[in-house]
Amino acid sequence: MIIHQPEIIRKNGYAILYAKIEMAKKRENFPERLWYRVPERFAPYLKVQGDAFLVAGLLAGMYFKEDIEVRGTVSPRLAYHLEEYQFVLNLRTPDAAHPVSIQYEHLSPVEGNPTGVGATFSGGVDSLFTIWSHLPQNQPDPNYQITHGIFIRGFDILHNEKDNYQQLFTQYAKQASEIGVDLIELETNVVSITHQRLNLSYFYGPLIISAGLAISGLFRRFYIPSSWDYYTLQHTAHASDPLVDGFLSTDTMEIVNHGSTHRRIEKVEKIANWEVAQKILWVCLEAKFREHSWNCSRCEKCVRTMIPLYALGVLDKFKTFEKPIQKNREILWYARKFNLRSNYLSEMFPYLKRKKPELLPWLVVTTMLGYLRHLLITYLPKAVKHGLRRYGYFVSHNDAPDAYENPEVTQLIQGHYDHSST
Amino acid sequence: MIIHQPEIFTREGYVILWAKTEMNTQRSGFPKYLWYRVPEKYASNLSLQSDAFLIPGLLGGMYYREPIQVRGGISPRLAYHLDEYQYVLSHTMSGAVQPVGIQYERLHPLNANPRAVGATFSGGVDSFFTLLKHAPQNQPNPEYQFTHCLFINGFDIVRKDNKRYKTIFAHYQKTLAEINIELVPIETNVANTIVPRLVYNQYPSVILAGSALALGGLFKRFFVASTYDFDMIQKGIRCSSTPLMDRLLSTETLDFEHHGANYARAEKVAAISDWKLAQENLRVCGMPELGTNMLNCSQCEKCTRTMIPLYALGKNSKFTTFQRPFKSNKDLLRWARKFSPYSGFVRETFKFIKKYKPSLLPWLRIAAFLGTIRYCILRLIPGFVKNMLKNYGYFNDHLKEENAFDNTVVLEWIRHHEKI
Repeated sequence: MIIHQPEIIRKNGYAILYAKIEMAKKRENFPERLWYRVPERFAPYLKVQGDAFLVAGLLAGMYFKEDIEVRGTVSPRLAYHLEEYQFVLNLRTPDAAHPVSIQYEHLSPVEGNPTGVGATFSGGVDSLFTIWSHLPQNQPDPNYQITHGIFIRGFDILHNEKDNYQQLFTQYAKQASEIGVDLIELETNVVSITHQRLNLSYFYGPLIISAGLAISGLFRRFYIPSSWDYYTLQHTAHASDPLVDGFLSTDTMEIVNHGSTHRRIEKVEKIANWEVAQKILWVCLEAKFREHSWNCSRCEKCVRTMIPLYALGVLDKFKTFEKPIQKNREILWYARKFNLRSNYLSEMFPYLKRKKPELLPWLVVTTMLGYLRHLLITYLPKAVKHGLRRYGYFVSHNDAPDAYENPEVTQLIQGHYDHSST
Repeated sequence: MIIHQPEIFTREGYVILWAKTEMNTQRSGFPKYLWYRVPEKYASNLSLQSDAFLIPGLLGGMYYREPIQVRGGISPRLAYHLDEYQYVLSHTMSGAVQPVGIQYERLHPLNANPRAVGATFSGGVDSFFTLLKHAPQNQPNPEYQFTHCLFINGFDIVRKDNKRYKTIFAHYQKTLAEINIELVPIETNVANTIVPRLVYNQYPSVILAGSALALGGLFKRFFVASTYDFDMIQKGIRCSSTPLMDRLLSTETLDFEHHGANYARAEKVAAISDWKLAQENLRVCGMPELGTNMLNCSQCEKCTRTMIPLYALGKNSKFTTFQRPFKSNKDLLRWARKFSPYSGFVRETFKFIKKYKPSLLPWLRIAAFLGTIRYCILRLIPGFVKNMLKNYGYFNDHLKEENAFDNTVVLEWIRHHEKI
């Protein structure tokens, strides 16, 4: 696998940083080029450094067991740690990630002295908690206060869901600016690397980090909001946690996985009275957007988030839930999408016992019903599941092989590439 | 608990960096003064920041559940990560230590531009392996090539073995000079924040990171050689020194790197087995009161555990520092004499032998079997019998002896200096 020298295109008010990826063997639905697109005002911060492409491309190399040759420049610090990084990924996911050798053409840090502090800004519990923790009132050291957020298109929100993205971006940008954070619209196709190959819930870390590394001229520090706390990480660490994310730091950008010290429910509690969170929280897995209420209130993640907010008596302040829980018995909704593997029950019970014990009987009933449902679904024959797909069940909005590509950008890059070749 | 502003004074060719600790409640045996001592020529490299005192002091605070007030300057980066460090440490050591609040008087980075890259060097397998990987001739990246190493008096060599420390230091200093690395002697009493309250070998980072931070004006990057590999760490081994936790102790001017956890110990032995420097200088033995010129007793668990892979590789005879190396397969039975089924290294030893010399496996199995029986018997010996046997030199823990890690002369100097 060859990761070619990155290039930058400026067009239509945007700047695109891209690099050609050449696999040793033809791979079905594998992107020919990886790219990141940001508004043109951020163009000066895009650097033709290979770090972002290596971090994302390495996942593909490890998955396909293809050694890597990097034609662009790579940070010496990143290069130093990649052997250990690969070792840990392989130890944790031996079937999915195999160590490969990496050949570097040129090792050198990014030129310049970046000053920004960034984080991903998806509007979820983890990301809002990380932003909240680094507000000036909670983080006195200005070197750790977040100056920029990245809202990625082509990750939770697909390229063809432009309206949904814009709707959220507008709201997020407004709220972000009120707390002194400059929100960056970033579009990328990096998820095509793992799509239909690796479970995104486990391998999202390097992809998000690569987005931060793409704007390497801006960030000296970049936070990855943790999805897992230290209790969960004991059993389910994969490709994002405080240990492995840190290996992807470069000479000029420190990668910090933030928030593993708090369980998800504790994070919900911390942001429960934060007005910004009340206005923009977005946790929904269903991606059925309504104006100002972009959480369906039915999916597992919505209900799991609403329960602690309801227990704290602040759910009515969160305007983004379409149908918030209003009575104790409505907790039974949780049973409808209940997932035994979600790991959050262990924190839910003690929390409710402490905050609102009268909810416990309902949670017990929910767990029993949800468990039964989960068993039924698990043992449903494949043929039945397949049949039910035509009625909208067992269908994911990102099933298409090219779900994480944007043909418009791909064509633009191809045009630029053809032009520069001739 | 208050950690006071550190101070420096020079005496008899040495420079001493020290800080007073003041507990809210009188704690018997907890050191009132924490100190580091280096030769005078390193005086300009000592840091007057409180970073080097906060790390060991924090352990005391976490043990006694006493919030900490730091009077000296602290690195903002270190301060930022200490919440997480405490969380992970208390999670790893469940029950032994608890997170406490820390109040900082002044947050600012060290005003220095350190240039050195180094690690502690004890002469053991882990430190030789880390040295091998970062020796200027093997590490292509100059930012990661070692320039200095620390040899700590008050880590694996106790105070009463001072003569032995000096002999070994002189020998290692000459050895490392051959590969253009300067060996720096440093003496400290910070181990007293661990013993006798906590299990000594579970908290090595207190001493290692503390010593590097004391020389904050010297090091920009400091490697901590791993004791355990990722497999053991993932399974929850109780140790404060892991790739994650060591990194959390970094400051703006000093990056901590935990090195070598992606190799099993036996693999490290194999990696250094052809290196002449290691063959002539390897020191793994933790036995106290060994002869001054003897590096490895060849009897203790660590000695035998190291000799097994060397023997399997046919390199045993090249390692000249073992007093009584294995000469035949049946010598492997000596492993049984100090065998511990819980040492964490049994599985990898079997795996290694299976790969490199399967003919040794039956001997290894017998050794493990006999060793386990011995281990169980020892566990069942009643406390009073053990106490009695202490008179004959058994069951003595030399680390818990009075002043094992303190130097009364230095303490006198500090008291005198404080009065002035």
